[in-house]
Amino acid sequence: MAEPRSDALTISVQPTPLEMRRCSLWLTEHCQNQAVPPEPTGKLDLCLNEVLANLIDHGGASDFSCPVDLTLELADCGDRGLATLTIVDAGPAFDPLSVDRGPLPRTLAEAEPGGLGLLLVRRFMDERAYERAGGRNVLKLGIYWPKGP
Amino acid sequence: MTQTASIRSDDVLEADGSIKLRKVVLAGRLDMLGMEDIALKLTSLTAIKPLPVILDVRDVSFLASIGIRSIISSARALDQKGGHLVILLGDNELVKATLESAGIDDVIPLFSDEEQAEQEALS
Repeated sequence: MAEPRSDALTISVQPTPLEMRRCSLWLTEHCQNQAVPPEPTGKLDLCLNEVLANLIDHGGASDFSCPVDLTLELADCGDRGLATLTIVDAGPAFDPLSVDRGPLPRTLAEAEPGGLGLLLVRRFMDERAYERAGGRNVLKLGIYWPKGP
Repeated sequence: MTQTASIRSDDVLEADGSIKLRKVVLAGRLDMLGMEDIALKLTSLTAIKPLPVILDVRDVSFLASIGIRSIISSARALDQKGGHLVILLGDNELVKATLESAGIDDVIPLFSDEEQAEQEALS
């Protein structure tokens, strides 16, 4: 993953559905201000939503005494731009990138409604990394976009 | 963020007054909060009667997995009752990419064109 610029933006939130809206607003406003195109912004917004939703549903988020910390960094990679979002939580150790949902359904009867959020994270994000550091889950998600002429 | 979700429906009737086609129009942000607002109504409109249904997501700005789950559940329940659900995307590229990445295009027909969506729903 490319080295990010030093002008990283951070926010701390509680993992709740209402706070997810605040996160989305924070992310999309800063991406817009930094001229990140709508497509990568929308995909990054969706993946942030899915990771936070997973924390709420499965991560024991209601027991958190610490907030979830988000950091957005932008990097210039020559003919491409890169937006990297780091999501840090103090929940039980869990690597969302290790979850394998299995093959996609071929019929409606086979379609399992669960597990789609992390599938979208894997499909939409160009860069994905997880580590357990200092007793916290650290998830980095990055997406590239081509820069204009 | 004040944007929320909405749902409305419009039935196309046969000459005898029976429902020929149901159009269910979703709009806004279909995340956890948005689905709290519309999930029950989506189920009641799409999964109760064996109808041809067009689910119009052209004005959906954000479709999270919780919304996809609700759509799958409705489409499956409708299918089991003998109905048929198709999705009308228009030029909504983000929602199209989301549905395709989740493999939904293999199990629920997706259309950009409204007329084609109607033909498929009624077929």
